[in-house]
Amino acid sequence: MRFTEKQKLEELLAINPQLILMLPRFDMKLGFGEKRVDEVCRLSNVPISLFLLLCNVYTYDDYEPSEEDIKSINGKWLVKYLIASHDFYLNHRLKHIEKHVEKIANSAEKVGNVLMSFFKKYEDEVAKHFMTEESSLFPHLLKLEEGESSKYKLQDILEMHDNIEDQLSDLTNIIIKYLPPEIMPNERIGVWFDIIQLSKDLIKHAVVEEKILIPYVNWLEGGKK
Amino acid sequence: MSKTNIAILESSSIIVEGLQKIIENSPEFKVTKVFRSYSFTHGIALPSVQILIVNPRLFGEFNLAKQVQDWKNENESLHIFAIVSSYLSAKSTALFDGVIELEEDPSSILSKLRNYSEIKSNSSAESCDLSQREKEVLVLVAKGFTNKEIADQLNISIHTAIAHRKNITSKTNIKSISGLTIYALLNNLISQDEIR
Repeated sequence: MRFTEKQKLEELLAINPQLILMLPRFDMKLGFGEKRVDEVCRLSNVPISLFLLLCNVYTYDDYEPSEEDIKSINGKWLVKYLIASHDFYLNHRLKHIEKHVEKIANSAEKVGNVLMSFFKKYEDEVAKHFMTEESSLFPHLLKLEEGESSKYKLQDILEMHDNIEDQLSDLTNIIIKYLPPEIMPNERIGVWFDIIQLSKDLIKHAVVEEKILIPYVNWLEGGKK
Repeated sequence: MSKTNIAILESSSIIVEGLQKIIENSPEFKVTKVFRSYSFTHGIALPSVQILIVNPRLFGEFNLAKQVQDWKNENESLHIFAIVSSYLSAKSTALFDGVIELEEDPSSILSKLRNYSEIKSNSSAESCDLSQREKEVLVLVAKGFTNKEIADQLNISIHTAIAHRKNITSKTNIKSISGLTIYALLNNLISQDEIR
């Protein structure tokens, strides 16, 4: 099954509750009542095809965008969506998780400092990772889309790109499997769910980049042929 | 804690989606890749895939044997199942770790796949603690030494040092150096002032 613009937005959410995260990234408001996808998109001037494409890729692991899907992408909105996602991961989810990790670290005498600096270092890496995209890849895309020349090349940018999921999985292992049992068990269970939710979302974010962003930039670099 | 990842190579959508549905009813499995045709099989034998389900009729008999061998070479721990709708010669059957028939009911398919996962979890359960040598390597990793330096200090080859590191990561499920450092601290293998 695939989503279509004539479905009600609530039907999409019933199938994949994670899609609620799409709304703030597109400045779409809650309180959409019984409206269909196309109606909700029009209210916020969001390109309907891009919104549906993202919802489909986000939900169906085997969804492969067609050539038409890629060619009809609105790059400005795609970039807006990706930057808003970055902001959400960095300034909302990671900050939230940090507060809880900090509580745990404060009561884990011996390793508290190291745990905290592990987390801070991870945050820095994620910030750097996003910054690379925002300062090179996205401007590159926007220039090409406008028909201007760009000093960057997709291939070079991708080589600087590194994995940001390993450490998140290390963190869950440390928190659940290796910290001594007596340290804040409830806090640890809570933060475990938060981290797993974030890591699921980061994986989808990577899929969006791989299936939508990169093919689109490739197509632009090839002179839209 | 990690799921068993399954890839499917099959041209029929009905079979792919049916298999996917049956497999994902069971929480320990996840279908991570689907290939509809033989020509797009790049990445099929990635290390992240543990089970591959293949329709042997997409290949001729000779190519099949060669292909299965190639996949096994790429990923030694890959388990390959055939999905068959008609007679498959004994010779071809022998190439696979198991055969799934179209008429089979879901519980029987899942139990075949599970047989394999049990082998996997038993083998990791035998060896949950780090060996003495692995602990020594871990301490040096946590102190920030490179593979080469570790090999020199312990009088082992660099390949052995790397093999120890791989084992440490597969036993603890911790990949990053900073994560391993915390593990070493928590297990009293090093003290805080030893960390560079």
